[in-house]
Amino acid sequence: MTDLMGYLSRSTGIVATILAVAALAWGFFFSARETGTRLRPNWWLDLHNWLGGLALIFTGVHILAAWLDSNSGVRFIDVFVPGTATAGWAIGWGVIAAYLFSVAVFTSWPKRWKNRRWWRVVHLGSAAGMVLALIHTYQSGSDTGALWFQIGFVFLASVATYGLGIRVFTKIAKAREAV
Amino acid sequence: MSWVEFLSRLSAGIERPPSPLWLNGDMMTTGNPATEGLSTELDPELAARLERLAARRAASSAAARPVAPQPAPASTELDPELAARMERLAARRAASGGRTATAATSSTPDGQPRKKRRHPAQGSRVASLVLSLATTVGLTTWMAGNAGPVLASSGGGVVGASATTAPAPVTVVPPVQTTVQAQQGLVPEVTPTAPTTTATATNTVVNGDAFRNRFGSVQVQATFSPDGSLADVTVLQAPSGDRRSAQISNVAIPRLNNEALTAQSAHVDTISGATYTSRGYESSLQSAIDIARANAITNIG
Repeated sequence: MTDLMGYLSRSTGIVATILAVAALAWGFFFSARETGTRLRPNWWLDLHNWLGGLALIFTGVHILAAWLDSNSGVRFIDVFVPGTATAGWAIGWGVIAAYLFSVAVFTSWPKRWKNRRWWRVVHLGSAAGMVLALIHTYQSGSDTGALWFQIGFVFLASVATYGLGIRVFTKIAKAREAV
Repeated sequence: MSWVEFLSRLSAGIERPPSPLWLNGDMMTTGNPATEGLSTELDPELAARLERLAARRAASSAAARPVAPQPAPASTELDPELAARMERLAARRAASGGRTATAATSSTPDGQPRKKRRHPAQGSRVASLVLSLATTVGLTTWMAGNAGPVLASSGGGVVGASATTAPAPVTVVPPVQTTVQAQQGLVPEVTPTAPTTTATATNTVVNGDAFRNRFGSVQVQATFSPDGSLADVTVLQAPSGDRRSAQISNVAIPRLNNEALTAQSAHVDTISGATYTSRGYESSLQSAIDIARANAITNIG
């Protein structure tokens, strides 16, 4: 049973990372209005919301499985307090990333924010969470020595960076046009 | 005239199904509808706007509309856009039959229940969920299949005796064909040599069996002093294929070595977060002790 929890923890961690990167990229493309003409913008937004929620669910399963795996050395307090694990900040970065994802998802449920600007700042915390999640993956992953993992890691980082670049450069271009 | 009166006159004068544009449509079919029936006190600018609007409607209209009764003269105080909006509201209320807004939105105007609204990315949602679950199950199954059972290879054996000065640890010995090795038929491992002394005391080095787990293999080498006590333990193999395993091994192995030397046995406490390494270390060290006991090198358990 313990072995199963260990395998489940590794697999759900990988899937959660993929889902989080996909949600991030979808969100960046939508906010940059670079959704193309084949698919409608509401499709992009709807899928972005879905992928974000799904990533959070798989992150929760990943945390639960890691805690239930007695060989991982993850205690109950390590799940909530970053930096207290035996492995140190390799687990801590993941804890902080989970918090940032949770805040980004749960603050999107209320349909109306009084201050849209603050909502955007809070929501963009998920991008920082994505960076921390990738660091956590690289430092704590049990499969980091495998070639397929390294290739996949580079690919995910590239997708996330591409989405971020699209968003940033689009904003810069619009600001220049406005000037 | 108040807007309530205006609405009541509109609804009373309607003989055909209400249309948001009936006022304008009526205007379109009767000559100069913009000003017909209107009071001579109508603002010229308002009249001109109504005339332009009527002309636009007439140009875009495809079907002739039945003549509707003449509406009540529009009040000069009522903005035509506001009038049109009120007229649409009256038409909508007439069509809903006075039902509440909630009831009106849950069914179509003809009373049929509305279909549940479909998410724009419904198919993609399902596909992503199925793909995520399939990937999780596939990865879990693949990892469990690749882990394999815990095996004990036949790599253990007495390496040989070495001459050292205590307490210098002996980790390697020249490959010497001793009597014990000859009896067991073991081939000494080719290992780098360590400086030796001319001390009369000799230590015996024994390699334990290698135990494999899902993170890698663990094998230790035990050094026994002439009195049979455990002098030193060296790890020959430890999980280090990935960064995490290497980190765990770097932390756990020194602690395990100290515990084994202190306890003078293989029964060491499992280190939290390094369970597999601890178990493999214990098993490999125990196998080395068993080999040494079998060759009368030591009496420890």
